[in-house]
Amino acid sequence: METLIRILSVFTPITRRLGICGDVGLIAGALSGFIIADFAWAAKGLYFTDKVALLNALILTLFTWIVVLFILCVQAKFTFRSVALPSLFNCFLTCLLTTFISKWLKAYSFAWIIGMVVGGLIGLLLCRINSLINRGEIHGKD
Amino acid sequence: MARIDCPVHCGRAVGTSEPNPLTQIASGIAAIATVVGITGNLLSTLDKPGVTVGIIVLMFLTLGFILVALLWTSAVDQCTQEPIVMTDKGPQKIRGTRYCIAGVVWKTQSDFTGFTTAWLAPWTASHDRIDVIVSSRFWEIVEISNADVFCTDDKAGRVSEYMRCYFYTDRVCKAATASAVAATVVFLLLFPIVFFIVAPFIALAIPTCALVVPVVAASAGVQYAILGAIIAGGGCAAATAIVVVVLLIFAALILAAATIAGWIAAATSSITPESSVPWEPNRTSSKLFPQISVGDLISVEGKVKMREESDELFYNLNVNIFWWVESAKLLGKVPDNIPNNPFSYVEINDLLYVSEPDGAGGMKLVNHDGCGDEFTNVLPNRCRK
Repeated sequence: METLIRILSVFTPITRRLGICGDVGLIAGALSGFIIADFAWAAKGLYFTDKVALLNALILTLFTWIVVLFILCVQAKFTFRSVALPSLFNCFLTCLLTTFISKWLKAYSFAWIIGMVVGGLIGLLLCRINSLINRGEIHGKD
Repeated sequence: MARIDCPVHCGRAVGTSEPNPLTQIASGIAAIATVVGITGNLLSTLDKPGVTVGIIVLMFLTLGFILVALLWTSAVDQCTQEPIVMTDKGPQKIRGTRYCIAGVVWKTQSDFTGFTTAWLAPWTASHDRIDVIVSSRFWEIVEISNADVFCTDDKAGRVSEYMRCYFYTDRVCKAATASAVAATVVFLLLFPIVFFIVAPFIALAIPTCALVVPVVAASAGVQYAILGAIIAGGGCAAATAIVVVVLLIFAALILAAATIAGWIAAATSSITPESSVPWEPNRTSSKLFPQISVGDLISVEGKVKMREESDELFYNLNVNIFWWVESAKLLGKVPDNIPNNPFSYVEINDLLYVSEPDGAGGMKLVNHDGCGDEFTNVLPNRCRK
């Protein structure tokens, strides 16, 4: 049990520094990247046209947003109103960039890494912008 | 006498860093994605029949494992006084320290309060809780380990520190455990369906995303050929949509089972023995609040640990809480003429520490807070009267 927890806690030093937005981006990126990578592993010669990549990004946005809302509102007890729109924007940017960066780099099989890095960075950036706009404001919780 | 030269330390403390649930969940998901990502990359190099189905099964296994792990984490957290959490230094047991505080009950919250915890996710229900505005003698305990501090919203000089005190509620633990068990069982039951029905079906859809689309369902049954043709007509985006919808249905089934099991466990363990004391080890449900109510002067003793909590004024902070209260003494009731919206330590100090004749013609301060000196003597106690 302790070994399992030790494995699961490997990224804690990073996720703690990423903050709420970075963590949300990382989760969205990991999930969307993982699904893209799964497609690449299953279908040899995976290729997205621009239109398909955009459609995929939108579908993955919806999926990751639902998962992120479950984690934020149910497990972490944030209020829906305080996180719904910011997390949707975060998921959209993360999924869009994960899909297109994977496509441009032709590295669909490694979309899970790309997703985590892109998501974490986008989240950090969004939180930084948000804190510059609304200094001192923190997301509400139940 | 009551107003002492002791500034409150409200809000965020400098340098406090305790892992919050989101940090831990994100870390867990990143770790699982890495392990599965490496496995998937290795698997995909194998050129054997069945690998595609295996890879799709891996996707469902991963999602199911994340959900089940989340529910078990909740169950352990709800049922354990000193749970293990993920920190920068790896897994660490959050060891509480035994303290006693005294003050006035400001707010009460029963277990299973709110739509989410009562109906949607019973595994996240809170234990019974009271918020105690603490007499200044115990502010060091509220702030110990460089914790953030919740305070009341009041005039300068009357602002008071308060502390959340959780009373273990058996049905909260049982609901969380039942949810985790049900989720695990349904996950295991769904596995053969995913392996034999869902994954082969999706295996027909995904190749529509390949640069050269293979002949769909060349070796599959007629039913798969028809479905595959439909998907091929919709293209790769349709395949993604189908995968996402099936993943969500899979997750919804696991969570529905967890929710129903949580309701049943909460409902069946709510037989309540009436208790004459505010807390007892085998208390099984929410009969705390007829015994404790807002305005009660109280002393509580138990393990104090730091946890992320949120209130209306300060939002989410890493505050010290009682997890759980092990004994509580009712010390009386705050008189009606004392301002109560909110209460302030100013009057609470006067009520708990009273000057009385010492028998030698002088006066002495008599302590009525119900806590022994052993809990405060170890502290610098900048606010002791």
